[in-house]
Amino acid sequence: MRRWWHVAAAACTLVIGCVRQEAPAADEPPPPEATTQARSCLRLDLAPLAIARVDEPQRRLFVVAPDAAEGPIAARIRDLESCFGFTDWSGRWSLSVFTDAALARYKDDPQVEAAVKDGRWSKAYLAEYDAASKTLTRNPGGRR
Amino acid sequence: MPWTKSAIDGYAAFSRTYVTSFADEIDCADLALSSLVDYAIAKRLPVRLRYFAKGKWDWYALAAGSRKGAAFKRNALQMLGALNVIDNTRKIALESARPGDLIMTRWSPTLGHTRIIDTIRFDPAAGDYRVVWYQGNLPPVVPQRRTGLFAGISSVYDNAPRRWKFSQFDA
Repeated sequence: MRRWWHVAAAACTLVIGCVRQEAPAADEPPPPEATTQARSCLRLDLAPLAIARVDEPQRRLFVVAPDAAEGPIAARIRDLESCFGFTDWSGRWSLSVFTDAALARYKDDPQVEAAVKDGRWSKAYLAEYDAASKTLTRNPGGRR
Repeated sequence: MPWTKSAIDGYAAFSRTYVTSFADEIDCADLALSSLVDYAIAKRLPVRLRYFAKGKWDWYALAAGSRKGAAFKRNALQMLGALNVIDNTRKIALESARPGDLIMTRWSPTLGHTRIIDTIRFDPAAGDYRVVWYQGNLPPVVPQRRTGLFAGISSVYDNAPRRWKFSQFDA
């Protein structure tokens, strides 16, 4: 009986947390049950996306997508939203989608300088998701 | 209110505080534009930024003391990038550079980079100017602090720092 109560209480906490995470505010602290480490979310199966690198200070995942199809990208964003919602990254993370792992870097990174100059970097930068505003921007590497 | 010497000097101090305390993710050119426009709004100063579209030069203009500052800023940040910043700044001597001045890069006809000077001083031992700058980036970042000798900064446009064309803002 006592054990049942613990299971039920745990389930309630989880449900309340999920409901709360449907509309997180970027400037709110994570909910009290946010005990999961953000790093654990990096172990999610994101197929067909693959993590190329992670910038933890900026809370950004650089991922590679096989193509520009929006469906799989949107689906994996939902998965990540669910997971990060229980961490201190909640509402404060970003996803940068590229076609090539070697180009999945910031534009001023010396390792992509040649590709930035000849336009390959911009073409490879498919999309940017900002969890704070919940916006997905297509082709963000255009004229900037 | 026009862009007097006092107003321009004030911008240097404002920019330094602005970029070092900016807490949101932002693109490199947007950080420079945001700093400029927010200062102009706070001081009721005009801003005129020129851009090239449909075969001719045109202007985004914010009148002094206008109540449309927020809309102007939103539009400017959405429409203008690093190459537009180059179009609205002028080359200055390295020894006259100060906080708020910019170090630009033009990688291609569509892509550039904007760095905002925090401090710059001559390092006799290195024989060059040592620069601390802040920058947004792409993908957008909470402004990044970078340091280096001026000669070591990659692909500097015109090999010199730049300053906003404050005189064009009053016209």
